[in-house]
Amino acid sequence: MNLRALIYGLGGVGLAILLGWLGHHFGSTTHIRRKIGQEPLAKASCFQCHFVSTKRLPWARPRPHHDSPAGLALSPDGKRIYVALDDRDEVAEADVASLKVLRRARVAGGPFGLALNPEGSSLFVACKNGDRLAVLETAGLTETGSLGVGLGPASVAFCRTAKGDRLVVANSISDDLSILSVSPLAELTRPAAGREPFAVTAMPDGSRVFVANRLVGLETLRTGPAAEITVVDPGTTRVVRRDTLDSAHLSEGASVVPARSWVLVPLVKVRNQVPITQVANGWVMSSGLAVTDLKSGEVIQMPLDEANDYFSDPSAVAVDPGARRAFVASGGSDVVSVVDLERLAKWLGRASVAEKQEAIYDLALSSEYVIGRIPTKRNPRQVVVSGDGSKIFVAERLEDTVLVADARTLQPLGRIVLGDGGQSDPIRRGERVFTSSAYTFQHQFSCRSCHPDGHVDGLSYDFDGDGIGDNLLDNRSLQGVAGTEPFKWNGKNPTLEIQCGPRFARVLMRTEPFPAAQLKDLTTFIQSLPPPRIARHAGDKLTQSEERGRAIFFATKTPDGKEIPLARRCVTCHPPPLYTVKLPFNVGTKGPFDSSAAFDAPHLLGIADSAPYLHDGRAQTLEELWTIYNTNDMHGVSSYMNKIQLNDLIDYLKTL
Amino acid sequence: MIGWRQGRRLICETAVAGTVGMLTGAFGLPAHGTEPALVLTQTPRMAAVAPSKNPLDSRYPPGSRLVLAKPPFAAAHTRILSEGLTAAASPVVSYDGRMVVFAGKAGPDRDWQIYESTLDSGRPRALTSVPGGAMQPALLPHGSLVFAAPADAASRVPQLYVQGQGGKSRQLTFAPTGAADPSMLLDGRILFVSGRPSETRGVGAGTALYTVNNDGTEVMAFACQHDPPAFLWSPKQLNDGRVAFLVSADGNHAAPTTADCVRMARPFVSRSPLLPEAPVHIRSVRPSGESNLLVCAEVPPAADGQGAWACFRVVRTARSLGSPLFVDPGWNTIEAVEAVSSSPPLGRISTMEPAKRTGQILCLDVNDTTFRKEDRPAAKATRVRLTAAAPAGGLRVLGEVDVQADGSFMAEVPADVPLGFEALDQQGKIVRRELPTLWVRSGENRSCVGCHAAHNRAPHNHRPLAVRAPLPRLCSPPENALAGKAP
Amino acid sequence: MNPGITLPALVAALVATLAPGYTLRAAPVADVPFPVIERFENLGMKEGMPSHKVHCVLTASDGKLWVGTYKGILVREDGKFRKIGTENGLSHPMVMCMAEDTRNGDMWIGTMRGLNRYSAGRITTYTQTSCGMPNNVVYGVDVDGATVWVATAAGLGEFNLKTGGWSIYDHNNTVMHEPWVYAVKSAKDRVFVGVWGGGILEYDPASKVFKEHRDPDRDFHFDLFPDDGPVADITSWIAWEDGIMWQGTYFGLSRYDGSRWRTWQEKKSPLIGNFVNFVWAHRRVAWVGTDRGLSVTDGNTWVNYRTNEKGEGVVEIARPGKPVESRGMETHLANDFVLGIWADDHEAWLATSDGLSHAIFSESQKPAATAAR
Repeated sequence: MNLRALIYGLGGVGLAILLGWLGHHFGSTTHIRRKIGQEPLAKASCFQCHFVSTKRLPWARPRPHHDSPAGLALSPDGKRIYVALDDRDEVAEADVASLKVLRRARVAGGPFGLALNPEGSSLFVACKNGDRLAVLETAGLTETGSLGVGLGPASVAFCRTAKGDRLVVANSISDDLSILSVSPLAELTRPAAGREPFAVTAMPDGSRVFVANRLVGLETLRTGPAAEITVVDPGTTRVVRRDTLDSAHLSEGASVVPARSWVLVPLVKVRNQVPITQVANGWVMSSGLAVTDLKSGEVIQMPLDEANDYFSDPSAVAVDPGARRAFVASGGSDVVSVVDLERLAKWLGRASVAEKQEAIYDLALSSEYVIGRIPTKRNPRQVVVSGDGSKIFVAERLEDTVLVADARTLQPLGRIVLGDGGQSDPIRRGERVFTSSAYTFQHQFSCRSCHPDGHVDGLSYDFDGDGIGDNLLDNRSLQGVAGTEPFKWNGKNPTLEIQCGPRFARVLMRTEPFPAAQLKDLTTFIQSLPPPRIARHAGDKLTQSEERGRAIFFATKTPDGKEIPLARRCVTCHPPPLYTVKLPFNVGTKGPFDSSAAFDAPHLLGIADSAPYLHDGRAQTLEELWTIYNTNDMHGVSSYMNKIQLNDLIDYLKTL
Repeated sequence: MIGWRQGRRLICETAVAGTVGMLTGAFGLPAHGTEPALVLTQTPRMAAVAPSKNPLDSRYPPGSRLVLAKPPFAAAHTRILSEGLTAAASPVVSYDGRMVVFAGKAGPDRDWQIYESTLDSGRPRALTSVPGGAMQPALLPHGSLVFAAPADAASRVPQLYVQGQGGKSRQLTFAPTGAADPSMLLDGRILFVSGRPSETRGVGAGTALYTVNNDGTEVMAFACQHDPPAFLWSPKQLNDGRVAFLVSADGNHAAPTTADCVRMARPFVSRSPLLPEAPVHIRSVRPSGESNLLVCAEVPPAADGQGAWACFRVVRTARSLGSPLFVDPGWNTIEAVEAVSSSPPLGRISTMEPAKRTGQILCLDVNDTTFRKEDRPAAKATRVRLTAAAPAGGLRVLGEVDVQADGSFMAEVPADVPLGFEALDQQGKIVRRELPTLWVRSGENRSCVGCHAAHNRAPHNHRPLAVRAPLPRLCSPPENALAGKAP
Repeated sequence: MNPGITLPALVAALVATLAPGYTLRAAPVADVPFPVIERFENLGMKEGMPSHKVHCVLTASDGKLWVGTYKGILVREDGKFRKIGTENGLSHPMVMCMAEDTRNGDMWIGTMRGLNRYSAGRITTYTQTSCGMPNNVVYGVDVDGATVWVATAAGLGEFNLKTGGWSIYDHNNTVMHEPWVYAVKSAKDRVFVGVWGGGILEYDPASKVFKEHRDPDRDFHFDLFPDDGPVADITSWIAWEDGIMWQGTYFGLSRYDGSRWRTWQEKKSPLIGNFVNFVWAHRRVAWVGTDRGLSVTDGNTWVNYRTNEKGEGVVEIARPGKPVESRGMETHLANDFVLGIWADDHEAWLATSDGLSHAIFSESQKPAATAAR
């Protein structure tokens, strides 16, 4: 009797489970089919649409802040060094002799780039998150002025011109420069820069300012990617030249060498057009230093790597006053490379035009002029040289320290300790992994080498996972990806651990996967990245155009009353709050070399700042999604829209 | 955290002494008492070397042994690590510093095989049982063993094999001229020696250094291809950014042998004597500490008229050997390695797809070449003929492929077969030729910048037209003559 | 001695009288309150113009001369012309209009297919497919601070340089009669928009309100009641400076000072031709390019330049209340079909359907600053 009861009981439970599973499976599939208007092209669950909240996502939660040094500025007498602490909203002043922090001043908005006037009395602070330029009087280390500039000001240079003192601010998000008068503090003009202007350096006589741009220009993608060095006359406020760095990008530093009439800009030489069949021999990227000869106008790209060892993510460059040596901080490799400028000049002097053009491809060339590599702690991102040329100061960003080294012997002299390094914070530990090239074959690149600040580099790459010659794949932003799984354009990676684990190691790192602890920290860091910053600030009311665009985004009918098929509504595949239903769809973009027609619906948070678009980056602007690439309205019914309506829709998308 | 900075040279050769300091600590000799123990290969000093077909028997005659010597390195205080073996040689200390792996012979008529001993007990355990023998062990980061086989070289040229924990070995190299002397580079590649095919000198006329991944993919020239010594062996990456190796003009073990080196930073243009003023009889060079060397060389003849072989520790900047660190009156000390733990090289996930029997090759520009005739520009190729080394010798034509307007071409080719290339002009005349040297593994996608292109050269950022053209398949009949066979 | 005649003026008059061949110099033109052209230096295809048709011309704030033609742009710097064409990234060879952002030297170039920003050698193209621009056919462009105004065949575009956003104004969302916008000119706190067949729209960016100015009589050919509003609705060009807006139409010329209109048609006025292609305003003087030559006027005095049947240059000066004075010129316009003009106090450049003319002013002229109001 008991046995029978047991059998019945177990049978009943089994039947209930079976029925539940069948109900869930077929019910949910039917439900999803009904909601998206088509057969789901991948496994789907309730979590595609339900239980999704941005408030619960890691990037929405509070996180620890660290004393990460960003910009550095040395006082004219060499006694004080100012350090921007963007994560703390502070600027620190340290004593160079004792290496002690003397004072800290609160500067809201993520102080990032610093510049002093020649007297050392005023410190100008580019506040990257606050979109403003702050002025601090160094006597009291107090803020005395502020002016709104473009979006994401990353650096600032002071210039004394015949027409008055000027500031040139690189606005890294709005892709322009704010040229300011100092007295009164006012914006004179805001010329366009390249894409993501990031570093500014001025000639001592104030005649020219050189701006290194981090990403390649969108307009260069079809002809050959090239970043720009923007040359400005701060007196006339005119852009006088735009030098291009062919197939080079991620320049985050710049330094003039007046004695040699040079401008030096570190760069990453990228080879995104070449199928990634290997990483050896710089097949994906290598590091270099652009030398702009101001007399001849030549821009020569010189390699910084070695044949079997690479010094990734060159972030900053500084030159001693005697123009003898340049110091290039490689943030991915924890090294400052020391370039003997006399040797470099000699090589350039004897090289033919062809040799100079080919120099960057010769991975064995750097031994001609790189005379030393100074080891640093984690993530050296800024470097300055003292006025007498005796010392260099290196911001070790993820160590919360500033290394002081002898510029002649290259020996470390000590460190200015700003914080504890944040090793107890998994996000900080993960950022260390993210920015390190230690895990990649021959230290060639880090995660950051393609995802600066976790965002995009604006390029498409050809991974050879399915053979040589597949379509290029657009590099997707990691900012705001938490909760938007699956990952990759084909949606094959269900978690970030898988995305960043063995598959990544096999295809790109060409080493072993990250150790488990590091992988966990890495994914924690990635998930902590909020969506890309956009022009609109949270809480702003939508404009009329944006409101109209919002109505279009959520529209179920065209203005003339026709029903828009469910599968062709914006909101079906891109429902809030993440603006993705996390399923693949065929939007009519399959190219001749694509193995599948279905691509993961990306989230739209911060989409204004992640061009180009579509899985292979074929659309350079949001407009092109619909004006060129929306075959048969497969990517949403847009054929009814006039240009005003399309502009409205795009205006709305740019608010997400 | 992996030891990422290991092997990275943090100061350049070109640094001017006196103005640029050394950054990685003191470069002098370690203080006495902090020195690590040494694992030494010793051969009987008075032994007569019987002629042998096996060069290993000549180099390591019966009685050769491995010993552990601890500071202060008195000859009387050594411990044998190859107890019970007729001969032993080529020690490699495991990354945890607890084991030594080496080649050994269990009896006079037995093959050389790979053994391991703990540094504590010294009881050898055979790791391989390869027909024809195995020699020259190296260790992959996770304990897998790489070795060259066969050791007797009687039947065929040696190739490299990898043997995992399960004991099954897989062939890694398919070089027509053979592959030997594997050692690990810190970036995870296997450095090895191979004969350099040459049109003019004939196969095997010179030897050069090559690298290959731990799965046999991405075989690549490393150094000495353009100035190949007649005989090159025992390459080893030093801790100061150089690779040291031994060279001689003669394969005889007794022939004068010097140590040369190349710099990792520019291996093709930096070959130079390692110790310019050292004697011409050097048998071993291994790293010591951060930047010093352990060198085994012949010291000047003693009273008995015989030269003794001793171990020296040499500072990096020295030009000669100095005083011996260890001398054993009864034994020649011909190899020495420090018995210390070390950071393993980077590992690597294989990119092979074992189910496939083919791979793909992509050349970005067949007309990108350093090959010149009488200083004239290289002739332009419009087609490429792919060849393979035939099992019975000679070449077998796999087929021809068109060169695209940008010079690129692509083809699917059989895996594990030495491949050669003949660049043809419009008239079908061979304008450049590469004898079968490289191979692709199953599922491997392999690329090159050009045809006889410059070494250590990164590609231009250019989308090759060949990737848009239909893929020529040059794979039938299946060619696996050299592939997949256990030694 | 007449106290009204100074010694330098007397010497100048004497020298001018004695100088052979310079007919105009001999004429008493000092009373003309704006520059009078003494001679033309013409540049045609022989001199390196890439096309007969020169559509627009502009001297940038850095002194470089920009010439927009049927086949690309020529830039004269350091005395040499350099061509910029589609090979350099220009979206289309047929250049319709140009405007400089004088704050930073960027040149905005309208073509038959897209708008281009030439900035220190870099050309960025804006098309109706790549951005929110209304239409690829760009007839007019103007820059006002951080706003670029674009007159296109399908509406007016407003490009915000700070945000990168576009706004479109056309018949759907404004009082615009039709979307064919031929001209746009910013005017301090106003923007004047020339609409083909729709007169002029006056836009107030602060209130975002468009005010329409239409020909009250709605008659193309006849200006039934002069000075009652725009001379015609077929607006071909608009110019504005110093508070004065000038409207070019294919049926005459209008002037608007914010409250009063004045209109001119040929035959009823000295205007050289009703078919006005282009108007350039400098100070309070209009330089009017027509199919029959060039008129220059401050609204009272007129100086016309044309080529007679013999192919000789003719200048006609119409002073208020005086008979027209007609004189021959040693040189003549490259072609009387004038499509574009740029002028300042020292020189003028004229884009014509058969070459570019450089107008050299008579040295005795007063600057236009003294022009009658």
